[in-house]
Amino acid sequence: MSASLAPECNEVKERYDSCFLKWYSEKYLRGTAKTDECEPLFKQYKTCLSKALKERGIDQMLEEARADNKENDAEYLKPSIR
Amino acid sequence: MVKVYSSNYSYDYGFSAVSLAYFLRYPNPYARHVASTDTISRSYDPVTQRLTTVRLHLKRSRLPPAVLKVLPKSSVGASSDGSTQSFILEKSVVDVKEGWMETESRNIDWSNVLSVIERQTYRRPALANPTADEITAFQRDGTIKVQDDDRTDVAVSVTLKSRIGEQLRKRRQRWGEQAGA
Repeated sequence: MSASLAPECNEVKERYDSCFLKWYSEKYLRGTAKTDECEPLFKQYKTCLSKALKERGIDQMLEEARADNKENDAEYLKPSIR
Repeated sequence: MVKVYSSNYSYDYGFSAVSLAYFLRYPNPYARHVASTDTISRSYDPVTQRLTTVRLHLKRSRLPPAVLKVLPKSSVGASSDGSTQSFILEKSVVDVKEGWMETESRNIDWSNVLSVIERQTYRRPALANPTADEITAFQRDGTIKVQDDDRTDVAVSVTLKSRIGEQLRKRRQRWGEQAGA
């Protein structure tokens, strides 16, 4: 499993990642997923990560990058007709 | 200056394996420079069955001394030995029902030097000769169960954009104007 950029979040990240990979391969890819079952674990992980990003000053850079890309995303990731 | 590279190929693995591998590609022994991978956001739409993920990768690298000399220190933020780090923002959308995955990765710092955007589209090949059962299943719930799930088509494009080039060109243009005046 890949490491988190914040070592203090590694444990909760690993729990979430394991959950996600199980859900993804056993339910999502088989088309039987009803909800994202790992959301509670993701919330825990995100709480830890958000704090770390803020402390390291990465949150702002991230916000800017994501805002910058909004238009791009809308264009590029729009539901496509195939 | 913008440069675009693109290519198309196929993997000899099914869409499920390929899309799973995409999420699992770090850490791996061939990419030791990738220090960390974090999921920033993830959302699943139960109606369309689309999964949208945003991840943040941290990559470490070392700049060759020659490059360090050419680029202004302020623009690269490298330490004196040339070791730097770079954040990559990756967004992906998987549609398991329609059988495709689209990804986009870009660097979010260093973009004053060079911005690199890598896009990939993975696609489950359409059924060439559907059986009666498969057609029934498709009509019933819109899913395509691929019998020979052993190929995934991939389209990749990389867009490189440098502002340094822009600045140089502007300067050259100014010189040209001055010389012509």
